[in-house]
Amino acid sequence: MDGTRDTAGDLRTAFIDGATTATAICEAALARITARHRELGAMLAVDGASALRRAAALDALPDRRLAGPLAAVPVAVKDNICTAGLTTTAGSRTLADFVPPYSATAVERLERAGAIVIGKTNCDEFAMGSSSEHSAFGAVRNPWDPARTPGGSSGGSAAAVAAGLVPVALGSDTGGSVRQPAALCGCVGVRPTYGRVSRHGLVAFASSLDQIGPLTLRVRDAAAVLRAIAGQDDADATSAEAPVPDWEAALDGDVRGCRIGVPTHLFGSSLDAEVAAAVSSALDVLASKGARVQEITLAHADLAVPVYYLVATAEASSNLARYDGVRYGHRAGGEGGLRAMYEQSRAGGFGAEVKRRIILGTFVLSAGYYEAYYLKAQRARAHIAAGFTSALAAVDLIALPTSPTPAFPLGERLQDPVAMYLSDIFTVGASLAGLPALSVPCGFTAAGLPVGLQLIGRPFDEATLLRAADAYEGETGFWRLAPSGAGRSGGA
Amino acid sequence: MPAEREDFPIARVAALARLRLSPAEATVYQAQLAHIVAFVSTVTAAAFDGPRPEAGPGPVPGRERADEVSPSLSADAALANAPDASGTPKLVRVPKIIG
Repeated sequence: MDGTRDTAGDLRTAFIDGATTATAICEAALARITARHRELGAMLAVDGASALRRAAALDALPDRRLAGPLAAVPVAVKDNICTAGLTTTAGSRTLADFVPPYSATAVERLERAGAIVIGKTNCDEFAMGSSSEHSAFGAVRNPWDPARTPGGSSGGSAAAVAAGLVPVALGSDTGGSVRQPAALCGCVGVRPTYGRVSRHGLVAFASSLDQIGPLTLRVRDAAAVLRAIAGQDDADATSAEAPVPDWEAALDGDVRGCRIGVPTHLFGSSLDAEVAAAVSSALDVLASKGARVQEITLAHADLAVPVYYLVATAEASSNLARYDGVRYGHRAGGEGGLRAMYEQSRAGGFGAEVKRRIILGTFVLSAGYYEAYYLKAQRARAHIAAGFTSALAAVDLIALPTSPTPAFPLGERLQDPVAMYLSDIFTVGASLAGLPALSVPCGFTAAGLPVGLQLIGRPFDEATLLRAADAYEGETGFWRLAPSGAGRSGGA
Repeated sequence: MPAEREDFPIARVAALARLRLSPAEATVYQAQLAHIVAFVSTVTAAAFDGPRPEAGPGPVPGRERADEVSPSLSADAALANAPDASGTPKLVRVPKIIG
């Protein structure tokens, strides 16, 4: 074994049983990162010294069973999630030197569960993008085909897991930024219900949409990580007091009677034929295991992409107003007074996509346009959410492709923002409705590119989502296939 | 009312957003934003009514905490990343505003 398909569960068990040490696990992960760092561009920072110190502390425990449910599991954290003492850039030049004085609640909880934060992953600047090309520190490459994107914005996290650098990574999902890269890289990605995971310490993009979620090789690991990071947090007023069950313990491979709705009316001409075939086969597998697959209609879902880009950019323009070169971030100029300093600092600190979204968001909130665009989008959002609620009254889950296409070539959509935005066509609906959703690998194209099946559930019913995905995964086992660079034979 | 494709007010909006754009950037953004605004305008054409909706996906939990002092970052820690800060206690320095 080269370790690239060791799951979090495998590593914890080996550590608890004394078959290995946390130090050996960390050293192996650090070696894999070193070997593939330049090729993939997945990592922005690696803190080997701290990771090894923490591993040594775990090794020294008198009883390893007390080390936590994620004991000795190396974790990479998307670089828009704060890590105390470790640079957190959000993929932006404006935060190139930002060292947070505190860790995000999700990171603190992971460490409390025994995980070892090993480094930070590359991403689209401020999580704004669907290809991980909008990072100030270079693009991330897809481990299955380095000429293609890994998706985004959590592309570094997805590439790191898919390539086997680490078994677990954290990402953030605003409009699909965990699910879409998970699909394009062939791993599992979960967007929790809005409010399930604290946003404290997550660099804000669009606060009514942002959620932190896990990317893993297997559904079982995602369930364990989600349990570790979920739960109410006094530092985030939008975090919910919902109970946090042991989702992993409830995975029994049984999907009998589960009603799965498929809104095929949304499968337009932009849906790649091979993706459509893989998703259709996945639904056949679920039906063969006893799920009841049926057609449904999702009212107003065709408006989800424009509504999302109105709401998210409005919130982004407000959230990113804080980057003015005063309290933190890049500062430029100073000649010409305070306003000139603001304008020059922001112009020099932000990249093209972030500027584009700030401008759009400022526009839709500005006098004369607010009611026509932002308020209209908020009303439409409520109708889209109601459409999901109505559909989920009749079915337990909704199934869709995660992405309309497999991984696309680097640079292909950079000059056409609308084409890039349409990469999110199947993911933004659940985000707008605040629903839990996940992507699970469901096959490969003829060119060997992974395809993801998306499942969407009712609020705070991650249990049904995870059970169905686990049942499907157990029947197919696509997670065992690794990209050739990861030391294993390529995909089907 | 919705903006026309060809007249996206790039200079006014960039000023509102505190972004200084080069002439070349302004030209590119004007064309791209006009295209994007046309794309999102499908929403403005749709008829939705009803009361003013929540700003988020649902009601925010109405939790309140006790009105008590609790541990927080020190001023020095909070300003440790400021590009130009000094003094005791630490203060940020900005360009002169009043002549």
